Amino acid sequence: MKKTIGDLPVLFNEKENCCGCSACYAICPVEAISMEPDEEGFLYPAVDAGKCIRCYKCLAVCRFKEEQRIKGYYSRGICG
Amino acid sequence: MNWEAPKVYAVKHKDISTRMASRSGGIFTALSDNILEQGGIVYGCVLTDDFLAAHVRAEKAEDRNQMRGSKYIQSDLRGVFKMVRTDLDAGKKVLFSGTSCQVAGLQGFLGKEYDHLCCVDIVCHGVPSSNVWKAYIKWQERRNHSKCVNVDFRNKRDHGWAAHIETMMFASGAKVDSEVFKNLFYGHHILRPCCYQCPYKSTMHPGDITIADYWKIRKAAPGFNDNRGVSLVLLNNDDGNAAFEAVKEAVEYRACRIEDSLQTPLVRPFERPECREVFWKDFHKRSFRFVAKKYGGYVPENRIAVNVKKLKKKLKRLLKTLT
Repeated sequence: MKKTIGDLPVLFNEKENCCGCSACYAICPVEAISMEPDEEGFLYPAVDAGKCIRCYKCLAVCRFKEEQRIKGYYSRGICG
Repeated sequence: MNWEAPKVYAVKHKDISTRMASRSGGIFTALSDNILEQGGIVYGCVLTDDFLAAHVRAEKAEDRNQMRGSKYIQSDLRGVFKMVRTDLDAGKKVLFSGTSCQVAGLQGFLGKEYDHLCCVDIVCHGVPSSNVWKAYIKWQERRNHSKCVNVDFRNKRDHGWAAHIETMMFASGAKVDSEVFKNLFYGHHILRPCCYQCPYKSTMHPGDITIADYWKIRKAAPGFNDNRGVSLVLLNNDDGNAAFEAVKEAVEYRACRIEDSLQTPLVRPFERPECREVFWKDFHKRSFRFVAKKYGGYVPENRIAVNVKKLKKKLKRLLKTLT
């Protein structure tokens, strides 16, 4: 039987919601996340769909989005 | 658990050479000395050989010393959180320093509290783009016809604690003071997008101890300032309090009130400039000279003076060929 596989984790919808702390990169058990610079030179996590096992530890570890939610800054888009 | 409000101190390291080598009053050196003396490990941000910021691990004071001073770009943390966990699991005392979001990131990654971890966060203005910083260095190298060999984001030794002048040293021996990058930084176009919605721009921080330049020192502790640097120290919980108690001998300090100490980043994040997109369009499409003029307060040299200089050079060459 074919195993169903979950959605790829979306680590941020808007750049405003990622501080680039690398916690998601560090916690990934299969090294599926790399930190890639954007056109301004800031590092953002990118998930390799082939390596990702959909454990979603990267979503659970994110403190920044959580703190933004508490502060009311996180109004755009929902992820994690 | 962090307290509901921090305990506030103005701090100066008793050793003046330590204070002059530090951005503020030297509290980071006092705290990290205490960790190193116990065989502990200090993590912090340094400037790499190519003038970018990265977090590194230090076991010795000479490596820790590289962490002192301002770095106005975001540091690369790749690989560091796992190293911290390895040290903690080996029972080593660890001091981790960084911006509030970096400290919170580490705490999230660790997922549990360690008694032998001390987190120190710095009051951050927001992190500027490393691409703009790199373009700025290249521009200065072209203007000075020489490779940059050293940079000081904020030269305290020559200009005092409160001044904000960046200094670059070149292979040719030239030394250039400039305020162009500072102006770009304070224009806020080049901050990371999340910094305009930073949840740590308040008196509450994730670290055990939060440190900064004490810009409100005249109000908070009259007579304490000598323009050689004063640290603002916020003790956020019992662990931070204990860490500060352990280094009190090494520093001069005064208890202050938080209400007298409220510099902007302790109140709210800086606003995203309306023309942020315009800046980035300019940065990607135009020369750095254009950007420096429009956003960095750069005033080009007098064209006539430059032309006279060139003419003199030409004449000299001509005379040489004639004689």
